[in-house]
Amino acid sequence: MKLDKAVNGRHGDQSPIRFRLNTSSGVPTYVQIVVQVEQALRIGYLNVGDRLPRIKEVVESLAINPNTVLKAYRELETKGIAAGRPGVGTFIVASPPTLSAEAFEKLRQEFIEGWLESATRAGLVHADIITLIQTTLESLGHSSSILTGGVSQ
Amino acid sequence: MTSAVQIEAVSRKFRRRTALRSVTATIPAGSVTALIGSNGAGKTTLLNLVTGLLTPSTGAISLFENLAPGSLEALGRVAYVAQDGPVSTSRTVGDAVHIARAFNTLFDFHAAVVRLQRLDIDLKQRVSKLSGGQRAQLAITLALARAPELLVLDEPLSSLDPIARRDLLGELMGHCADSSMTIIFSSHVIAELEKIASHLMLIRDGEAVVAGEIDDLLEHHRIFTGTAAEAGFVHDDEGSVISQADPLTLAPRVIRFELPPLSNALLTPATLEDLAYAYLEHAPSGSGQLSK
Repeated sequence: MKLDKAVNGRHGDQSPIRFRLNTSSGVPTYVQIVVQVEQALRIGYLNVGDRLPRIKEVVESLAINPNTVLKAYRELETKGIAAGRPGVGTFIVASPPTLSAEAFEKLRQEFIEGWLESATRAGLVHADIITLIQTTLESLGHSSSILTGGVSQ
Repeated sequence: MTSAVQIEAVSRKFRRRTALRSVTATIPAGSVTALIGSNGAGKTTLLNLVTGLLTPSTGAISLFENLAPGSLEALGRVAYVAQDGPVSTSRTVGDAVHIARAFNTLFDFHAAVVRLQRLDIDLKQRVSKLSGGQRAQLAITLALARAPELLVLDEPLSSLDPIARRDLLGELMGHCADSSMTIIFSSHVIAELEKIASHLMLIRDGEAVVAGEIDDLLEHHRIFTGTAAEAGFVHDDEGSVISQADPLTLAPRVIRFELPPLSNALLTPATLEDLAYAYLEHAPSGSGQLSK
């Protein structure tokens, strides 16, 4: 334990990631943190073994409640992306599952040519479409997993 | 979860008016509780009762499960920064710090001096010559140096500039992450509370109309976006209307549900701000039940 701390003190004191908040997005703060970690992993900005910022660092810089950060880190742990080591910090242990570019493009095309076209023909506008998608996801009970990156329980 | 403050049926009367009426609430240890209410609603009276500067006319308050507010033991564990940041003005900043050290068994002199230096507050300056914001910062510095278990702040942000506000909130949250300090603070700036508060207590006309964990409160409230005719799905036993009817559509706006409601296209999540305005504007008790 002592050794761990010393090693961290020298090499891992700074976490590579720093969180930012979008206060007007309406997305809960803890979800924003989870999403930022996942995005950073996808683009290779964060890697397995990296330490996430200490809770104290995050709350001081963003002026948010410590529980919010705890909740985000716990969510990342539940997803198997991060793991907490008592007294040392929270570390990245795995990347979120990613879709290949082709698979993603295929889904996108299916969506545009299929459902989206019917919806537009029926006269739905941007806001209607967003609302319909949101309420449908919510009623299916998938709201939190969709919002936070699509790992099902 | 243990409680930091237990308020039981507390009323406080002054000579001609009742400032608080039968307030009952529990403030859990380690929580950050935002106290909101309009001017004259009774916020400061409540804070004065919690810190022992006033005693209740009826009812009782206990701190840390069994201590009386204002008792010697409680005083050592509670710090209070009242609204005007009251520090004796006839002396210098340095004197104020020394006096605070002399009067407190637990006082981090070094931390206090470092904090004042960081804020560019000169120890040789007379307190009377400080700006309102600096005086507030001095009072907050003296409170934090005592490492209180319960920190009570009456409108701590009102005299601070936007950067100082953000820094102070961040600093307070850092203290919460380090220790399990409980914070109660009153404020009018609801948007600023949303990020840091875990609990909300809303006082209107001397009564606590809402008290609880914010996540839990938000789960039980929704904004209704439909017309009055479309409100039929909300039955009496499920929900009650909190905010005033929209003058155009006559539709209720904020609805409180006994159980978190299922998703519905006419209901959208409420923010802390929605909730606060709804309760501050309108009397929920007895009125506004949806009949159809």
